Amino acid sequence: MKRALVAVLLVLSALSAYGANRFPMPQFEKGYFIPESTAPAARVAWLEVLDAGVLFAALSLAAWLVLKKRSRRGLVALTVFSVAYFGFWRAGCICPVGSIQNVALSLCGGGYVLPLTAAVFFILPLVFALLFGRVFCAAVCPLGAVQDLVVLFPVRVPRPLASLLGLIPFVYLGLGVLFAATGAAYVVCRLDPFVPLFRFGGDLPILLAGIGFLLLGIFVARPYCRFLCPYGVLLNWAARLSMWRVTITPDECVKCRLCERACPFDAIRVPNASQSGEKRRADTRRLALLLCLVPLLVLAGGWSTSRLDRVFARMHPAVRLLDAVRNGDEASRNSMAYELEAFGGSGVTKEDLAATADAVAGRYRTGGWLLGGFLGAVFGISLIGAAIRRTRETYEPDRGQCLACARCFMSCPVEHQRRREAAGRRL
Amino acid sequence: MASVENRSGLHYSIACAVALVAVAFTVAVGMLMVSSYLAARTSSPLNLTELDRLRAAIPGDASGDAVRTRIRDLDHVARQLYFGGLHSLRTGCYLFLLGAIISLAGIKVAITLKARRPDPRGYPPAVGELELLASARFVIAATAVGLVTVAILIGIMERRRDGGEPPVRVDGAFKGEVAGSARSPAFRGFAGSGVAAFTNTPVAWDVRTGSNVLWMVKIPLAGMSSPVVWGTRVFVTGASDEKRVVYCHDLDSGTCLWQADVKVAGDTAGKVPTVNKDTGFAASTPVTDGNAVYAIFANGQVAGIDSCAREMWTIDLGLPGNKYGYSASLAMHAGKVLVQFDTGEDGRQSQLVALDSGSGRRVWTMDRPVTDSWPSPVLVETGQGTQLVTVANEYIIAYDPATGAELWRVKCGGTDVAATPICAGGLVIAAIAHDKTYAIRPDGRGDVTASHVAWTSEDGTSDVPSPVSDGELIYFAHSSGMITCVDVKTGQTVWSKGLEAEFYASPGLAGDRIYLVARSGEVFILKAGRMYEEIGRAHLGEPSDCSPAFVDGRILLRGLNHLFCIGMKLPAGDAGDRNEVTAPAGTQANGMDQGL
Repeated sequence: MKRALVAVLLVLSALSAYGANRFPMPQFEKGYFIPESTAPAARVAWLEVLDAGVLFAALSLAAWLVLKKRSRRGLVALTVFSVAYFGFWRAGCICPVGSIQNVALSLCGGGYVLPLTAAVFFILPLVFALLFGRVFCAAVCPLGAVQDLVVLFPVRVPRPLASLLGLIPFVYLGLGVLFAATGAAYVVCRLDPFVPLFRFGGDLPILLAGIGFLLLGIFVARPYCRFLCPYGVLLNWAARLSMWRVTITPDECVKCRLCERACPFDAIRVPNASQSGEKRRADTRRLALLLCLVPLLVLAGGWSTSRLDRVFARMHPAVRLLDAVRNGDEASRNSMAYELEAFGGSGVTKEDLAATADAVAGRYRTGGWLLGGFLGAVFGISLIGAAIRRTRETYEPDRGQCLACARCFMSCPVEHQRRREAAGRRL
Repeated sequence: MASVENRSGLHYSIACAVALVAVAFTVAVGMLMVSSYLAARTSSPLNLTELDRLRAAIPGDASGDAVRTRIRDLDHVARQLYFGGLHSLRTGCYLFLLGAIISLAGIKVAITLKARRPDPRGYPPAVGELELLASARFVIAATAVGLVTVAILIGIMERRRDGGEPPVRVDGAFKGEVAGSARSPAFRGFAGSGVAAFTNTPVAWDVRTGSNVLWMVKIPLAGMSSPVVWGTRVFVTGASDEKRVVYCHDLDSGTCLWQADVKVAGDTAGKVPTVNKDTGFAASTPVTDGNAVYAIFANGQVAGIDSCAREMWTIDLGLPGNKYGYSASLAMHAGKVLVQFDTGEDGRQSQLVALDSGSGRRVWTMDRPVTDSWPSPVLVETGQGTQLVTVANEYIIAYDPATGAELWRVKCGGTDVAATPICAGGLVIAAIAHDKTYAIRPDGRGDVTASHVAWTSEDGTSDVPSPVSDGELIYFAHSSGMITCVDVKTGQTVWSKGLEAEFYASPGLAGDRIYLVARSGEVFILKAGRMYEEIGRAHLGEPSDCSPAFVDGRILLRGLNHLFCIGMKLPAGDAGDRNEVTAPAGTQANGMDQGL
């Protein structure tokens, strides 16, 4: 199991190396100087401002289309635009999903300056979620938009399975922040399955994963958004506090269940006022027990995850290099041939490298406590959430999970009636 | 009505047909792309057997030209095929995307046309919420327990595999103030104190026979600066009135890895500073942080050179006005290169300057109330944080290295101050030439002349060499050859001894061995203690005014013409072991070719 986890982490991190096009240089004999490799120029400043402006405009438009105009057609048009602009034109970078790591590194990375664009892309969708719900997911996020376009034959994921899969984004978020904050890697970006599609190239396994997600998305709507996206966790939290949010019906609900079936994300909560409940005393006792359990889960999670420091540390290039320098086998030496060559020419001693790696391992011990504590708190709070029964008289979108796609109210007969009446008044 | 249904049926059929064709097209393009990708991934012209055969068959005479032409043609064709494959892959991407869009649109249209009016009566009954909540609780709890268990098991197995030891550890044992550091990055080592982190340095060597001389290498341009070491790299500077160079040598072999010219820019261009013969144009020792080396020369030019010999930046501080030439070495703190630029000889303002090591940009500049001086700034760790201590003719001043803010100062006398201060026994020890030695408690603020001077002593106060201390005793070397040992707590003289030598270089202490390099090149090795005891004497074979740098088992010494690496050779080598390396001709750094 341990080896499997290490292997998965390393393989995932090494996938990008697999995609590099390493082609031998021609051997020139007559004084030809091979041009020095140069890094691509940074995106010009005015284009970055334009990107931020387009994001703000797209979020505003999405909020208007969802809450005021209530137009699914408009959202589809915005979805296509987002795929074209934020996806293909901007090559999927920087996106709010990945910006979590920039923010984490800037907060913990001592010296890393958070670019303004990254800050704007991180904050704007969250602000809009606090105001209007997950309008970013509705049609602005290129990753969500491209998945939304391929939803053809949606099926329902069984609730227990959905509950299980719904925990993955928290783990992914925690790991992404941990590895970014410790300077190991931007794993969320490296493993982003859709960026290679937007760029028409990249690591083959990631590319295939992207295609796989899209094929799966034909039946399971937006699998990445619902069961993997780390930024979705933050948007979920923000949307629960939103000032305005999607309403299914503009008038009294006729409880036709059409919206329930129209939502491919299973984010409509059904009325439960008529359902019989458990005895109040049993409910209270369970809740009290779970409240006591939360600190224990935080401690247990923190302690057990801190024990994985050595496993996590192997994701860091300094530790991997030290392993390869010290006692790497033939395969690891071959896979790190360039790093070993660079190390040999750097003048850095093994002792210095070991000291660096030791400091890295120390950071992962602390990071393990924080990550495990966070996950323990998430599990505890989720348990409490699953122990509290809220009474609903009518069909409602789940505040956190609703992606504001507008499918529900477009299926509502009351909404259709309203539109017909509005059209009649205009005539 | 029938015509509408017929039309709808026709549209549906068209949509299905378009979707079907588009899907088939997309799948075909996708398969071709995968095939092309795999072919491009696995192909490499170096693996062509025909190329290998031709390479092996190249004859040494002129008839080989035909073979070479054939090789070039084959190589060209292989590359054309490879990059052609990549190009077709890109084209395939566009076709794949087009096919996918048309497929998707066709299927969506077909679904819309065929969609039936929903009938909620056929929907399965909603699952009770209590059941859903119970199943969610079970799943969450089971997942939590499972994850904690897996994490604990992995942690236990991981620790068992490593035998309970930390995942990384420092190999080798180093004794000294900074454990695990095989480097001497600045003038007089880490703390600028001349105290080595090693005790395994040799006490005998012979340059003529090569005994315990690991290597010696000629340095083309003269310099009174001392070597600095980081890892396996040794840096020294040399300069003339026209040229300033940073040299990088391999610690193990002495091989010159690169040399980098420091270009003159700014107002200093074309101006030659006035220097004393004993100071020269490269008296200041450089400093390194492992990523780059930073050097200052007699003309006030400061440069940052990266590990590939590329000049990262250079700035011009202006021509110094020091009457003997500029000699203060650089210090480094938290990414800042610190320059004590005491040039206030003829009305100019002396300054303390902090430069950003990455860009050369001034981080802060502090005006100093002193005239020209020759000592180097020293970083001192105190209970209240790190202090940058400077000495000059009029004042001993400590600064906050982060901001440049003055922390404390002591008024002193003296002229031509050159000795760098040290920290010993919790006191700052400053030898002020033609005045006396001051021992100062560094925990004061403001002018602490009256309050924080623990003792002063006029005995043995060194003029050019800086003192060295083992924490109990302080050892002063005077340029006249007088060696004086005083008690660090009281300033009382413990012993003094006159040697037949002149000293400009500062002594170094490794364990209980004091290394004193005389101007003649003779090296006196004394035992540190309350009694004078000479335990060794060696000779470099040429004059030297440079202070020693210590690394694990080795001493780096610089003479007038050579850089020496002194180290244990077991068994003692003969003349044949002497590893003389000369700097490769024409190794001027020019980017990648000379980079490491």
